[in-house]
Amino acid sequence: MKKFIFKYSFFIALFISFAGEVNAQCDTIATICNQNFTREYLSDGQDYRALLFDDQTAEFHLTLYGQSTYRFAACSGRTSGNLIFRVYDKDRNDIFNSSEHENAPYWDFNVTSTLDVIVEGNLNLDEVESGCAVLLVGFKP
Amino acid sequence: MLDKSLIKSQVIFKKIGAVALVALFFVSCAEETKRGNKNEEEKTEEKKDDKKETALLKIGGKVFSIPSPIQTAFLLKNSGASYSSEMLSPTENAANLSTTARKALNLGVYGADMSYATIYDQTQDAISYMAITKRLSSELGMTNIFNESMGARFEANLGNQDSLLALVSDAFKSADSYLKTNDQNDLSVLILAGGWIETLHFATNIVKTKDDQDIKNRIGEQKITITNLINLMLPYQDKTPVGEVINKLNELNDIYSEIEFTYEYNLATTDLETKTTTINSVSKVTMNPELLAKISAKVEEIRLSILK
Repeated sequence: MKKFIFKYSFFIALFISFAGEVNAQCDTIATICNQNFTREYLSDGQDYRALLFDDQTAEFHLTLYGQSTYRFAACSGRTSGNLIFRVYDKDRNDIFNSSEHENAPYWDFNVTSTLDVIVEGNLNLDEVESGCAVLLVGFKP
Repeated sequence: MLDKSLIKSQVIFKKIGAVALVALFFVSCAEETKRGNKNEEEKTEEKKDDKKETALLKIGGKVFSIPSPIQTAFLLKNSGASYSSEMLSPTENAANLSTTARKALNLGVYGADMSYATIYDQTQDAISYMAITKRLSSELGMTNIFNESMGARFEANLGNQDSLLALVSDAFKSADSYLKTNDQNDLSVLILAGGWIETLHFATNIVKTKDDQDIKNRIGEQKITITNLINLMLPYQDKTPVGEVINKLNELNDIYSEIEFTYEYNLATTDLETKTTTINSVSKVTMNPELLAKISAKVEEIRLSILK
């Protein structure tokens, strides 16, 4: 029993240490991802992160205001194009797919009317197998 | 330097990742033993959820967000509404906040006040709210974000609205990131909730004296944002006072459910040269004056409960 508890604690300690490592990696990726924003964009004040393994999908739910211009930047790892992202409306109608645009790391969106969108992110498995997915959103004031 | 540390980080990540997966396996095995004879249906559901997240770390899954308060503050200014310092939260309240959760809620409120004053070029108010924001964030352990250097940069850029707003929004993003990294997501969502309520308080107050359809629409459009805000807070509902705030937001959501929000999907168009997609879908909000008055009253009630 003692042996089991020891093993259990050991693996939990390892997992917590792993969580700390992932957070540090996410910080670095967020810093790199931020370089996709020029001064004309203001951050929405949040940073969206998820840990992905293999073909897992991260789903980000956002409200976009009408008559606004947004920039989405999606990153994982240290190079561009590691996170493929798709944008849908709330009914899952297609709006954008970065894989149709050479896995562009960022894209701009002019919004006619206010709507809820879902941004799905998947790792580009040709480049990375696991990692932190970061989505940053900026808007033109 | 950055590249080297990242490469090192990725190597460690892969190694620890493998160990962590084994750890996850053991943890789930232990849980399985404890739970004993779960039925097959529950097991299938659990397997589905396992793919999305664990209690220790967000893996895949859904992430909800709400728009920046700065966007609505711009709408208010562009509508021609004049600046009103009476709408801002009293600065003396900051001294009476006893818990970290109340400090987080009010940090959101004061952050929205600071953004509003900055957008209207109200230097003195902006400095006052900057000082409170700095104090509260320091009390929440974020001394490296709203620090002396940030305060100095803020004062050096007074009169340069673009730079000030960039400083403020970057600081709030850093605060959000800091709290998430330090497993304080409950405080992060409280900051967002405080900022959201304060901005809605500005909007509902302005339309009492100014009949502006764009502002009314923005108030009505919060019907979709409030759902995201509640979803964002739900994972932390057991932490005080997140549950209380959710209950109040649910009451507001009940009023919002009476608003008619229509949406029609239209194909988006993409300009490859400018890397821009135009979302052509159209939405419309229909809200009668009685509903607006009910929303306004509920927003004031929630705001007062945050400030007291």
